[in-house]
Amino acid sequence: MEELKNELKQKIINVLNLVDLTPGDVEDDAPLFGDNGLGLDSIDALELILLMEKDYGIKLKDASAGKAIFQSVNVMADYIEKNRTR
Amino acid sequence: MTGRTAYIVADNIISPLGTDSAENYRRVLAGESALRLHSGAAIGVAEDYQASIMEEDCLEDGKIQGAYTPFESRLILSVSKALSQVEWIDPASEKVLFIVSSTKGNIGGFLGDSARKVASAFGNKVRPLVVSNACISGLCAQIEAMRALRSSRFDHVVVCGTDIQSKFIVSGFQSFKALSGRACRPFDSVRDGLNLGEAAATMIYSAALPEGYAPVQGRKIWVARRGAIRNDANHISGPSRTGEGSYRALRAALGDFPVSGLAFVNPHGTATLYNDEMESIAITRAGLGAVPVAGYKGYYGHTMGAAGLVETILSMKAVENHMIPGTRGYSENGVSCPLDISPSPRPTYKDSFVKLLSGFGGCNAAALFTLSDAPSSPSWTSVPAASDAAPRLEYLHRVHITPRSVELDGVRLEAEGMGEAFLSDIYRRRIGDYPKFYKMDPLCKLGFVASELLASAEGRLPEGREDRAVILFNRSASLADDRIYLDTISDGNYFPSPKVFVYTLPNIVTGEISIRNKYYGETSFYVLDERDEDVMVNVVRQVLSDHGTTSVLGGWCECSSPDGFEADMFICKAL
Repeated sequence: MEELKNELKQKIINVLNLVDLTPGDVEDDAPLFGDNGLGLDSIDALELILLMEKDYGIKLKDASAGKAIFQSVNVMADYIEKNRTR
Repeated sequence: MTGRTAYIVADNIISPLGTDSAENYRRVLAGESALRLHSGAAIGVAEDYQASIMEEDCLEDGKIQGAYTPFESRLILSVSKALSQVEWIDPASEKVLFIVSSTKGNIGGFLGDSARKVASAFGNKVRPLVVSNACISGLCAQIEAMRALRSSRFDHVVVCGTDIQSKFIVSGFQSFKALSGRACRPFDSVRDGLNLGEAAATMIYSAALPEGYAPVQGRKIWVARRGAIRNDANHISGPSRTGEGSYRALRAALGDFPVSGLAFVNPHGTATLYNDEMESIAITRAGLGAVPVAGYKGYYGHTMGAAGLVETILSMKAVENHMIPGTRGYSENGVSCPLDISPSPRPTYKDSFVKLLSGFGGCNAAALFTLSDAPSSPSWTSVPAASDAAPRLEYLHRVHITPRSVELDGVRLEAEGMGEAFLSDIYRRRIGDYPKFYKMDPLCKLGFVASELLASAEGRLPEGREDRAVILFNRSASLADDRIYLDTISDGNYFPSPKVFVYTLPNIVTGEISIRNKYYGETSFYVLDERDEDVMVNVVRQVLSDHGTTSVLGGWCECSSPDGFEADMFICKAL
């Protein structure tokens, strides 16, 4: 699980061009969206949906489904662990 | 606005619902739609899609001879049908300007070259303008036409627009999860996305009518009174939660025109959750909450570069025929500021309407049209260009950036690297506090860095200004990004990226600059077949004739590849 979380942090940084951050800067339970977290926006959420599909074989049809899943790295890793097909 | 009047003297719509405006209006009024479910596999996208697509037989009558792309031949066909209504206009005259409205044009081709081919097909040699302002292009092109006539540089303007639906566009909207699988439901409580559509349309604007000319029954003629473009300064794809830009555009377009004179408002009404909600707020904020609202996306889907023309023309026909089409797909209010919308046609005896559009890049446009008495005295008065009515320019600051050099107000600045790395180095040395920079595509990085240097030379101004316009020009539109996006939708590796797709709209750079500086003013992106200082200066001068605009951040912003670019931008004001 720790490995998956670190992998996920690196992927989020790469996919979303968070150039000034390293995986160590991203807290496991910090919110990804909104001003108190990484400050991600709606396009970032769509990119994360694409990441889930591309790298873990998880298809989310509805953009709003991402809201619950992309709360934090913890929640996201948990969801991937349970639903991944690759 | 003083000066000459902008009349609309001819129009045409080619769509799956007909090859002239009257037939389109008649079939819309009868509730017909060409929205159908189309196979995604047939064009190589992941899911099936609901759209209104022009089959070849729509175009059969009057096939265009010559080596034209479908994009060009659709425009030429539509323009020729409109011009046939006004044989007193010589399209080859130097007093006639062609303006093309397109969101994406020929993917992989140069929009300016296509526009030149369209103008040349009618013997016109004036350099044409292409407005590529995402979904609002069709109204921006008309607003530019009004200004070109009022400045007296031109007597007639041919405004035409189209877009062709393809794997590129459909996959992009699918990646945004913006498409509905059903016929769309504008403003309805169960709306769940938009449909795409195809049409080609033309409007011919004129300020020089033959004596006694009155094209509409009852000695009437259409007058384009006023238009305005304003930015949300909020987000490059999500509409403002307060309807900021749309409200401001609407307010500027209406001026002191009495709300009681409006037959109806024709909104953008795409049927996405956020667009319709935003428009309901903007319309209500502007004091038009009680005015009837009628939208046409349920008949045509979103025809992109054609939408502003198609929907303006249908609205003109509605006023002429005293019957407003129903909003197809609407049944129950689904927005927080309820509007007066009807699924079935309604009579009207008023003579004016307002057209709204909103698009990616945070841009919004509004325009006011009135069916008026035709002028009794001849207005056949061609004014020489020397008496051009637009203001002269005073340049305050200039910046020039190439892949290896940067100069601000004539002074060379230190930076290292080449191409995109060079831009990043300028960012680190001179800006540094806006990490969103790294998310931008090369065109936006270039425009953003240039605008930041200009802003630093100017000294940061208070935020929230509506009087600063951002007007950029180039040749390649977003060609460099189009190539990057095409890589994400190749058949073996199909993962369309929403963040790449959004940057394939060239006007996003104007939105990025507005968001950074909280500029609520006009934003526009023009594509030319080559750099032309005269054309750029004249467009900018005409922008300054907008009542709310006092200065322009603008200029040339060309990016043909991540390491091949040139920005030559300025801040100027009216002298």
